Amino acid sequence: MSVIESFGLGVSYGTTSALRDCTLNVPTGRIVALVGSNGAGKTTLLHCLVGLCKPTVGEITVLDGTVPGSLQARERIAFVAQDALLYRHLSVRSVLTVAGNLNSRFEIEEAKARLSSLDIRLDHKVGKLSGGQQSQLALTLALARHPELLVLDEPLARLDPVARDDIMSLIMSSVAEGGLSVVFSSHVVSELERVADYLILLAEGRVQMADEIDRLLAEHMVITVPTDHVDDVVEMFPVIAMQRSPRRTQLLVRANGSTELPSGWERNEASLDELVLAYLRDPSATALSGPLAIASIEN
Amino acid sequence: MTTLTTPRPRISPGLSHPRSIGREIQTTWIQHRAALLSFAFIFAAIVSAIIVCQIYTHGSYASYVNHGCVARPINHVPCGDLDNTLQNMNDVFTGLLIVLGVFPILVGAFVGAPLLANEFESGTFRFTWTQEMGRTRYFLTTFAVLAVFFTVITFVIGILFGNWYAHPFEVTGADSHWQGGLFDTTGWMLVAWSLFALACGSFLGVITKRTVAAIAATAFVVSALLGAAYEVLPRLLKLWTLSTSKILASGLNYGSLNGGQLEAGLNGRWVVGAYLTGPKGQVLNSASANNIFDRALSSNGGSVGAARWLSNHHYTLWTTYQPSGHFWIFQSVEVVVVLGLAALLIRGTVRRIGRS
Repeated sequence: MSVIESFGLGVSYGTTSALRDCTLNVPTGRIVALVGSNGAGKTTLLHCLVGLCKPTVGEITVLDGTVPGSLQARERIAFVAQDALLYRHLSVRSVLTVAGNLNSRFEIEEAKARLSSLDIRLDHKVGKLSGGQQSQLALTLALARHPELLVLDEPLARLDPVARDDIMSLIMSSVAEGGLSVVFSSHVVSELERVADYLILLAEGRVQMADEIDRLLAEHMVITVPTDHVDDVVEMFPVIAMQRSPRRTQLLVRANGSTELPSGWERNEASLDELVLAYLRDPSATALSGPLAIASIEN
Repeated sequence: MTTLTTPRPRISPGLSHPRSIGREIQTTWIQHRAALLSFAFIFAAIVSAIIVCQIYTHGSYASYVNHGCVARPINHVPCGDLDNTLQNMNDVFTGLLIVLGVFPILVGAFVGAPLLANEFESGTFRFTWTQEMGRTRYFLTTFAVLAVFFTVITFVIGILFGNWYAHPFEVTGADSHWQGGLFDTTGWMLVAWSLFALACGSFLGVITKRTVAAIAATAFVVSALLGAAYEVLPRLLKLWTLSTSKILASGLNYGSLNGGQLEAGLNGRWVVGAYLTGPKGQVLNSASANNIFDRALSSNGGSVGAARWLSNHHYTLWTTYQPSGHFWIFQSVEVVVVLGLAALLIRGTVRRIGRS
């Protein structure tokens, strides 16, 4: 049961490659965080999931083999675009009506109740709402469709910390109701660990890291060693990042947490922030699980 | 973090609702309310103007008919005065004709062009096209609702203008429904050109993806094609003509002979030319024909005497014309061509939005 399955996915715009050789297999029921630098291909990948973009090479399916953009996919997937783009000249009530008319399954009363709880008045023009309120409205419209997959492109970008927390709580409670998978892109790395349980990291259009967050954390650790022991660490483990000082050096390495370490070496768990930032700084490093990892080694 | 996966609660029976025409009309109304209201206002203004002007014209036209001027020469008193009065009212008629000529351009530029260009420019297509309805169905249903609206209003305007308001001017010979401007503003032609403009605007909107650029391109393309139709029509009307012999005195009033003169004829005909044949049935060239006419007119008795002179010397004036029955054939051909182009543009638009 996979919510995203892609093989050799590539998307090009003219001579520019936005995505290259992306192979993914994400199980259902996850909250998937999609992370990457600007221009890494996050939005392109999300657009491929919802049928706004077609692969140039390779293939991608969603929700157990459904073709993105097909009627079967559109019935089951809701998308909130970056900047929550909605009809600015319409009132909130009109946008609700339009959304209701464009879908055969839409819980309009539930949406109204939620907007009411957020103090978003139905007679307000969408263009007059704050950025946070527009994001809340877009998310409310998406959830009112009761999708099986919710795709969010930078949902936190325009939000203050309180609104960010509200949005994340709403997403988590929706997932907790069951049967909903979420894929969201974000630059706010600090929020990921609390919300997401699966991480896809893109770098220069390629999948650099894709796995359960718990497993990724278990497979990495931070080792602090005397600086003259650094060469020994490099021989023992793949080093992702290093912070060197004259006496002690801290290294983020890919290693099983149960690995025995020589005396004088200090072991710490890696945080997701450290992990993501380290991989973002080194696009050549990869952390792919299972057959993907084997494939990448063979390549 | 791990999330338990359990089956989603079933949707309550009242939640699922089939799409219906009413809901699609409502969606189009909400999204295009400003444009629809503006055109409803323009429609009301044009219809009001037609009604007021027709009522104003009606009195003079009734006098014209009551004095038997339809069958009498223009120099018969008071037909000349009444004819002059109706000619003066023709200025307003011509003004309205120009407005109707521009109408399809307005439809294309301000409704067709923004239809998709706005979605691309504002980014709202990412919302609309990922809803269950999908991009193709969304475009086609929106287009269909707008097309029905413009079909109704342009048909009403065309019928009121071409079949009612224009009637006195056609009877007095001031205008003819065969003329370029009037030919394209009958009920069906106005509908066809407006639908074409709507389709052209949509297509250029999906090509340019910018509202202002789409508006400018649509206005240019539709204007150019309307202008081309206006220019080409007189040439087309020379095809498939009939000829008839004519020795009436009024038949001399055809300007340059053999020169392709076009003007309104009797009984809804459209005269596209005239030529003179000699005693042996040979067609005279322009110089010879004008020479013969000069000799005929120099005989006593004015135009009646000239006609008699021509008859006595076995000269016959022939006119080439489109019979009134051909009018609807020409209209149908142009409607089919224009609507065919519109259908191609709609198909092109659907293909483009499918790829974008």
